[in-house]
Amino acid sequence: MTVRSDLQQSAFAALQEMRGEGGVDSTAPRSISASRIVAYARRENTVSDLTIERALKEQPGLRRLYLSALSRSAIASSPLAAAASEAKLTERFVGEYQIEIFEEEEGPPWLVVRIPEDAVEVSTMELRRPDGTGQRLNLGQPVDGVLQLPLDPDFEELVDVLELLNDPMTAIHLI
Amino acid sequence: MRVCVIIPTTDGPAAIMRLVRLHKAPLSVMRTQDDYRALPPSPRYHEFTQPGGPLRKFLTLPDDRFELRVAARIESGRSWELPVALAHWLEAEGHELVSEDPDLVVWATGALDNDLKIIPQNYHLEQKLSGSMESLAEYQEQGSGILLLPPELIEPPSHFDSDSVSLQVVQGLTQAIGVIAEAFVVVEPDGRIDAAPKVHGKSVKRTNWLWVSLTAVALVLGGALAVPRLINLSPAQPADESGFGALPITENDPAPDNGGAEQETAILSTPAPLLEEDIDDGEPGAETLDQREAVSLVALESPPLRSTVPRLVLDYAPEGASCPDVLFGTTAPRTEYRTATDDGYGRVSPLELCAVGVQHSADADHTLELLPPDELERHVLSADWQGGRALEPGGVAMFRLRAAVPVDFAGHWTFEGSSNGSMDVSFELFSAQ
Amino acid sequence: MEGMPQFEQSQERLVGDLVVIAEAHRLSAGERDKLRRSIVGAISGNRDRPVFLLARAVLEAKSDDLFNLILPDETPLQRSDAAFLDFLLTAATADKDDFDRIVNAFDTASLTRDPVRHLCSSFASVLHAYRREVLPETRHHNVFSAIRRYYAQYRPEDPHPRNGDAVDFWSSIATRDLLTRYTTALNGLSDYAEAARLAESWRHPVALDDERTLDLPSESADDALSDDPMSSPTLKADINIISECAIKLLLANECKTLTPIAEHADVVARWPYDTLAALAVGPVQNSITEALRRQERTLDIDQQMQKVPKYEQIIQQHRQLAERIDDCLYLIHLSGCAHNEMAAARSNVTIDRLKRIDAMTRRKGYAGFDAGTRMNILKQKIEPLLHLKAMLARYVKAWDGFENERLMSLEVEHSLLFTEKMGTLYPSCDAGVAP
Repeated sequence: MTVRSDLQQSAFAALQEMRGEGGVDSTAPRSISASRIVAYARRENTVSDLTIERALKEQPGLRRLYLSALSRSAIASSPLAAAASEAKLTERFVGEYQIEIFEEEEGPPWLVVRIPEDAVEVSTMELRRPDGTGQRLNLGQPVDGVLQLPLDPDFEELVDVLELLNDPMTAIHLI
Repeated sequence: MRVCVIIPTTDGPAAIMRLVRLHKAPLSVMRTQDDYRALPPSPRYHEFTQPGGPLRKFLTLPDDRFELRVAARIESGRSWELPVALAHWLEAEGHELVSEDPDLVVWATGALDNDLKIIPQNYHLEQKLSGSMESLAEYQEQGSGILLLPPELIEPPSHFDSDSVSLQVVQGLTQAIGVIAEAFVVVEPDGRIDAAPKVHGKSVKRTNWLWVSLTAVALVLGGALAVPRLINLSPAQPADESGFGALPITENDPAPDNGGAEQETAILSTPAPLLEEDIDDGEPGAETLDQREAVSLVALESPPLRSTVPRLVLDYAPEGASCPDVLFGTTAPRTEYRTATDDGYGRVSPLELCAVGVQHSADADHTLELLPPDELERHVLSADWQGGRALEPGGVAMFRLRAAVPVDFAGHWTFEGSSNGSMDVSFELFSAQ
Repeated sequence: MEGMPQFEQSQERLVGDLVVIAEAHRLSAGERDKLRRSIVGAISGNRDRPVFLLARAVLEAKSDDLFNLILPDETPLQRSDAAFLDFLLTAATADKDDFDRIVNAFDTASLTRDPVRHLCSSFASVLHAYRREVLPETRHHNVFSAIRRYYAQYRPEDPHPRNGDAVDFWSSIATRDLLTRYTTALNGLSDYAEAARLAESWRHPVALDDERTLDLPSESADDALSDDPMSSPTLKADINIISECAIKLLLANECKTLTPIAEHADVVARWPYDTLAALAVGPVQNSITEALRRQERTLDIDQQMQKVPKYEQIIQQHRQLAERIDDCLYLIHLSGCAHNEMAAARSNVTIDRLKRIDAMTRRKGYAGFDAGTRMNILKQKIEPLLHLKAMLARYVKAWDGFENERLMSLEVEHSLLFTEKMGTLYPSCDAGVAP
């Protein structure tokens, strides 16, 4: 048997393979620092960073960090809907905050977040599925303990929100 | 009618695009077409329109919330309150709020106090008006009538085509509604082209109405319902028996003596004289009587004894005051009584009319069951409508008006339980005699 | 340092990670270099000292939010510390356990007796995992190059490693900068052979349903998928279990002797000559480098080499250890645990064995438990003992294949070669710090 240079290449890779016990993403490129992920999870706006969003979908490790940082800074979180069999979300509790979706006779469906008395005010909602896809939504300022938004499909950023909200696997974080 | 209500801002006009009733939503919201998030004034809008809020004192709205969409952002301030209140009134009256191709454009501004009167402050009127000019000119080109309702006198740019623009200084919501209601009357008979009254005028006194009709109005008066042009300059002057407190003035009328009222710069066109006096029956033309008969009185099947018929009670706002002042008891009303004749109660001026009711004769020996005109229901405070209807001898039943009653209003008061059985007494507003 | 000059070019991953962290924290060139040295362990003295200092700084910050500490604009830490922590958390995301460990260690540090040590160990664990994953590439890159060079020069017609090559390879290639230790050279050659074998197997894929080519042990598929019981870490864990047992089964020095044997269990069957050399010379070379690190000026290489044990002695030791393991298993059998392996042990019970077992039962611990407890304790030791038995069987089998003459000549050959090479590697005793 002769060991040619291309064989060396394969051997080299094989060795890496043998030692790669750290999981699927141990060899994935990591071009995003933990601090950037944390800063993104704790940003005060709802702007999406496509690079990070893609990384969250592709790299479970970064997703873990992101969700960990997010849930530690979120005011309330709900990992998934209690009644997973519900076809459509009409009501869901995230901590003590009540979330409702309803339709009016005319116009788009509405999202309402009720903030109980003495509870901390929230202004942003983050929706995230276990596969890393998700979105953040600015809820505006509460009036009489109520945050209310039309889920108007004319707005690009709202198209997925309704779908995410109706998915029982979607985690809801209030920030 | 298609009405465009413009909220002028210092950055330009923001037309109200639509007003949607919400049945489940806990909040009323104000937003633009370009953003799903509520505008900064939205919390105040919710407060303003919610049950117990200022607007509900005046308008009986279903217990709903609203989504108000405007064409441009409103960042701050409260001067949107008057135009928004007008939009709600228009919506409640069944008019269509549009931003394109309107019959009438209403340009109004002013923050409202709890009595729905405009809070005096600097509204940057000139800046707002000049910012709106381009947009107004476009509407004007399309043939829309334009009604400017500033809280104080301003002079629009000279190039403004005065023929389809009218300007009226208003002090509060009731007054603004009265002006709009009147504009409709002028507009409706002649349709689209004459959408707005062709008016010239000047304000004699800032607190007073300025609403002068031109020839076109005279023509309208000559036909159809002969709508009066109202100038309530001297409320102290006794109202006519017929209830008319104002009159139309043509360009050719001489300037009135206003008892030292301050003269201000004429706007828009030739100064027009203002007078308060009865409409002369003869002027509109001979066919007026036929017209009136066609629309007015309903013959009574069994004419009751007039003396036993309760008399009509009319509460008007006195000079310098408005209906909210009267309704909330800060000012005593100027009360008029009307005895029923064979023609019913006759016609009554709705200008500054705050409440209408009936009083049973003190001499009567029986209680009457009162049935007010059904048509009145949507114009009176619901609390009054739902109140008791038994009329004791000497008793009064008053219905406070929550908005100006349309001028083409007509209905019957019915009294049951009299010795002659049921009595129907007709009641009309704004018909010529 | 091994391979350091080639470091920047060859380690794209490390360079990439470094750049990302350095940019995020706006590190100066000096800070960036310090971070790099902390990561690869290019530190004189204790390689993990930076980790210890970081753990201390993190605890001194008294923050209850680990993630806040890595945010460049919010951290109360010094810039270089925040960057190092950021790096560790970034590295930890590769592995769920690492990530959980580091987060958990931070959260619970204040509850432990030695918070700095507690946190430090989680940091070190992540850093070591990163080094294992990223840095061997450097080492192997250089080692593999060296191996290729060696075969090209000395045996171009047959460049595949075989029994006996390691000693020659080491003696011709080792320098003070590369492959200084013989055991490192042996392991490198073993990895190389394994990688080449794997690569070859990819060229000739076998049908997965062909049992002959797969050559699977017949017992169970689970065994094939579980950890290799002959791997060095598994065996060392087994040795630990036995040495820490409440009932003393093996003596301390017996356990100590087993440890280096565990190092080469995967090689001995293939390369018995080289393994024997490693067992004989390895510990001696270790003590030489240790002495150099302590900068002992009185080190005599020849004198040190005298400590290399006789090969016959090593082989005898392995046979004795195999006997001891059988003693343990028989003792467990006598204590009431049924196991078919121990039934086999019973078949060659000798008087000597019974005497030894009698001595074991009198040792501290054994008599102190009632029969039930004792049985429970001993039951847990059966599996580790069986692993060690199999390991020693592998060695004994390899040595049984030796002709006595061959063993003698090999020993002489190795002795000359090692003494000479050690003399050139460590010419003077004050050479400073060895790798």
